[in-house]
Amino acid sequence: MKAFRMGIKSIFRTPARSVLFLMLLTILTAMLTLGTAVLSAITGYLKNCDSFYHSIAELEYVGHDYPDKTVYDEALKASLEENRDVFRTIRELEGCEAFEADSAELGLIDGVVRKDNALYDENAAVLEVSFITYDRASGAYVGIIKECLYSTKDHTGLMVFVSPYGLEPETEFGSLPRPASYVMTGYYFSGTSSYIWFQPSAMTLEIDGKVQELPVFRNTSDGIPEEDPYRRAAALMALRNNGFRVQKVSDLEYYRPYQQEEMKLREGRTFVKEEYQNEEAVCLLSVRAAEYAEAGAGDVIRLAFAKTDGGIYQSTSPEISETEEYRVVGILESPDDDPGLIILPVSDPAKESACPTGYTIGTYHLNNRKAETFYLEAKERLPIGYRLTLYDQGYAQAARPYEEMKQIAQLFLAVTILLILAVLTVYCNLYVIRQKDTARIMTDLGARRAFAAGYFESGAVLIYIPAAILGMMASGILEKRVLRMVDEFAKKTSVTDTRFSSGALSIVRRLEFQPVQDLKLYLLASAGFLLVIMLFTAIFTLAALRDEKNTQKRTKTVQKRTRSISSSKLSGRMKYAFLSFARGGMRTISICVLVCAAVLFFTTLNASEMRYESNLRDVESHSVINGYATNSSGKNISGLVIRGDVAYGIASSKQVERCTFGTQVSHYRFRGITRTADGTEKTIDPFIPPASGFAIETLEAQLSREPVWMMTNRISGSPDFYFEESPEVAWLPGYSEADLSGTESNIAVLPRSMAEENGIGIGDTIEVLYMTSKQWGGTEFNTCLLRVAGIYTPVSTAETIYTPYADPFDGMVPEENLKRLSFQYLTFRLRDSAHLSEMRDVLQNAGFVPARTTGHVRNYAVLDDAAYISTTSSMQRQLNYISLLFGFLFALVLFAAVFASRLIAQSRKYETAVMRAIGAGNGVIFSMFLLEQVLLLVIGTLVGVILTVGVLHHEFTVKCMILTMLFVLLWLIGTASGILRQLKTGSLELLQEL
Amino acid sequence: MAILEIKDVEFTYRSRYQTVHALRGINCSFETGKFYALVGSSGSGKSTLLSLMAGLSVPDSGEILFEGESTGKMDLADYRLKHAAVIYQSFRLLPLLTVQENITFPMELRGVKGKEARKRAAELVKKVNLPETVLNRFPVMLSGGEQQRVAIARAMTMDSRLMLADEPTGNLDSENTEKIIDLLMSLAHDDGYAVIVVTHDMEVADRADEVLRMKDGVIERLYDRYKSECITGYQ
Repeated sequence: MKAFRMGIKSIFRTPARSVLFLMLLTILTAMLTLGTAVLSAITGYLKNCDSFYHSIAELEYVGHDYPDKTVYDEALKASLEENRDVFRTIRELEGCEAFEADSAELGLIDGVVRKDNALYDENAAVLEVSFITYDRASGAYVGIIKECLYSTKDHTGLMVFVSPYGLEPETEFGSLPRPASYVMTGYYFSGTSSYIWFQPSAMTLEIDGKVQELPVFRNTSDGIPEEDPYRRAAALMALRNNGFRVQKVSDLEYYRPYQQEEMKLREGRTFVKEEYQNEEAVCLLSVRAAEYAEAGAGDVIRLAFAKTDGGIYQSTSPEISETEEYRVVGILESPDDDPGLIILPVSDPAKESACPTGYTIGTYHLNNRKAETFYLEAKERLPIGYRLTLYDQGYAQAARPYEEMKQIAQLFLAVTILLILAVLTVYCNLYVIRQKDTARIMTDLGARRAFAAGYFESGAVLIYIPAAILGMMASGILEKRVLRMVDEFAKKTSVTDTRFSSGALSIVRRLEFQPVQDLKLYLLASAGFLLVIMLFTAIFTLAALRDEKNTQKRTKTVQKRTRSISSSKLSGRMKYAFLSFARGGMRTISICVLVCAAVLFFTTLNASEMRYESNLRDVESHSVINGYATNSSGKNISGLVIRGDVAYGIASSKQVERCTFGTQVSHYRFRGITRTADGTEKTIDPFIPPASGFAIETLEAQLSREPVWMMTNRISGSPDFYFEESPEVAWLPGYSEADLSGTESNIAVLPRSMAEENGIGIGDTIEVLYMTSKQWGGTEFNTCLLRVAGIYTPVSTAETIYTPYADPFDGMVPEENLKRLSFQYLTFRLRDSAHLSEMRDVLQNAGFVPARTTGHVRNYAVLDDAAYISTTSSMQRQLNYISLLFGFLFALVLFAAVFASRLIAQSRKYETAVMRAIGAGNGVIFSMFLLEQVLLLVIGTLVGVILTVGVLHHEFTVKCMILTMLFVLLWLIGTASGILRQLKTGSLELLQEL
Repeated sequence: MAILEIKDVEFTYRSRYQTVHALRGINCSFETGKFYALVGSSGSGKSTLLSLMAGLSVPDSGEILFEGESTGKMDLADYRLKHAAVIYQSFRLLPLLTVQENITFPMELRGVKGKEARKRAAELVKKVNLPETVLNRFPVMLSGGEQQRVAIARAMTMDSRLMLADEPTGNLDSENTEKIIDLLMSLAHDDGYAVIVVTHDMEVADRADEVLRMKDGVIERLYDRYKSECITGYQ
């Protein structure tokens, strides 16, 4: 109690100093509590973001007609089998929490057939045709449709022209008595007249375990029984086109659309845990499916599923499963494009799909923070023909800005702690060390050391308690405002790196930053601060109160260690400076620690700033900007006409690293191998062009559905490979991609699928049929011999063949010649991203406008720079704000240097007075103290640099060096100012003040 | 010959709380080879006078002549370093320096080489009747009497023969007081110093060659042993 009362008195009797420290401690308490509250709020928000958002990566097979196909094909099936291990490896990458296979199937509800526009095979049909005759004039069979076993449109009773191609010679139909009827499978195709054209095509079916090829047609004089294979073929077509999508999920929360707002429960409930585990016969319907089936929650529906052959719906297995009953537990809202969805519970999320509808293989569920790392690593391992698309579902946009703010909050707290250290050092030097005699007098008078310690502690606590209360009050008032500023700052400086993530799949709910004030945090932080103050005071008090024996022992040790300085040849002032440094005890240690902490602080801040800059440079240097010419519909780059002179403007630009252009020759049909690589000649039937108009029309229509033959100067950059870095091509020895821009025009690069299907090897010579337009109208059919110089691995099911396009820009080409050239596609890659604006000028000069703008009929160009620009501009903005903030923090620390050093210098009054009394001049005293500080600063800086480089592994850059020198300079200025203030006082007054 | 002369010295203290006219026209002189005691009650101005004689400040008016030269025209730090040796009641040793370093410190400030300074320190320590082993100790390890002797040894590093002492025995017991006064007496009579001691202690004053009394800022000579007279008033 006595010590406490004395402590109070000591506070009130040094009002100026007490008020100063009260203010400082109030400010520091406010900073500490605010910093803690902000850090806690941000940490809490980030934790919420982690659980609120679900980053996913969708694995897709990139089909040529994606996303229209609803079935898989053999190539995909084989590819899935071949790459099963790769996908398993990807699943095991860091960041992947689960893999949900796209367990979707085709199903039928109670036989209900939905009607919608998203049909896979709208031209497919199974018809029964009667009254067939052969029309010599048109070269086609003509009949009347007796029944559409399957067709998207009911053409019963209408006349149909059946193409003779694929059929046996004309006598087959013609020999039958009328009114014979035939069932045939095939598809409608358009002709140039208004009647219906039908192209028969064979189908294969699996019946009772046996694969059976259905003939193109069959006599149906005896009718078409229920179990007839043609009815099964019709049912399969119906299923493909009109079935419902049945999705199996192991957790509705994970199912992609249901994370988003629009997929709400309209009626009933979702699944419970047991229903997933036991895979019970319950289901959820989308609104559309419910409407079609006229079912609601609680009703029972009967579901049948398309059976698959190892996951493929194809004509070999049109079996429909047995119908099973499912109870509808709930109805879900549908997105606009929902054709009808049924959801079933499943226990194992990774169980691979029976037959997914569409090209989605599955979805990886990712750890939000590691999503990008996973994406980059997984992308490296993806086999050809697959695409991985990362959707962070809004996580990056929500959380990233706050991750940056968290680091800033941590830095702010670090600065606060540094300032606390500085203030406490000064406080203890002034309040405790200077009052060493007071403490000694107390103990000499009989008080215990605990009493003296209590005296100092109570002084410290007494100043701190009101400071803590005021500081917490200030924090309480400011917290909301500060958090709002944090929120605004986060939004302003937010960086969303859109190079990797495609954002969200649909509407994203946003988790708002709405922290709740927690007074417990304030109390905790303040209590921590108080403990630190008491610890500091205790350490300094103990140092001041070392008992004589200990003092003697310690001083003997100190004397022994510093004997070399003492007996050295150093001059008086230098010697005193070194001795004062070496024997300074707590003062030496605390100042060195402060300087070391300042160096660490500078280097840490600088390292952070450099990291931001480095990220920006990294994005700039690693971003590859591609571009392509297009028509006004944007991505559709076929059917363009780009004039040669316009293309030349781009191809010759310095900004362009490579330019790919090409044009379509025709569609082609492979006719056969005429010569193998080893020189063996082969004979194929000669092509006889059709004579009649209808035959020409038919062949033309057929050819137009066949793959495409393109002329191009390179494969990489061609439309099929626009996104691929380097397509996989096996070349004939002596040939490379460069030959595509050469003059040897009769070489070709074929897709692997086509080569394997037809037994074509590299080096073989093949014949292809193609068509051209005649000068005055009409179509001409020709054949052409091409030597296979390369075989490429396609990324889609398109079977495009490529032949060379000799570089039209080689040498000086007259402009008139250039103008006569035209291309159907043009893609380019920029050398680097630094000259985007120059590239825009090049495009503009070449006559392109950006695809986003509309205007007169012109060429459009798309620069795929949106992700790059949005990322770099937000990064640059962030960097600007960070630099500003860091500048402020640096200034704060530098101010602290001046303040602390000045106060510490002013605590050397005793030594100043004694030295003055024994005749030391002002210059001598000044230089001694300054030298001592220089020593402290050098040691502190060296230790700081060693810790920075050796422990933290930060770079000690030129900027760090400049900041450290500035700190040192300001510390010395503060010291000088403190000493000079004392030296201004008269010697007599100085002695009397002691 | 007078080593120190005080002529019409006046001095006033001005602080935030008060103004004190501490010295009002002081006139006196001090000769080498004599031990002077300056007595007076607290607040009489004796310590102030000593401080002015020590060169810690300059009088508001009048002058203090050291060997005929006015201290007002000198560099006071230089005067304190080379001419005016002072010892204090609280010893005023530098706590971070050993005894040897405390003694050699002013010598090194005057440019004396380290080895020579250390040799001189050893001699002075002997002269003040301290064992050589104290040379490597810190002041905190010494008794009051020992610390005061170290302070005297430090003061004796000057070539000058002026020694000023402000209550040098104030913190000492009677045995040590005796020893310190014997030392100071020896400095005066044997080494020819002009030793001027400010003291409350009448036993110290009794041993002095001359006793001067300060009262309300005015000095008067009380006693001159050599003249064997008690003098009242002042010259």
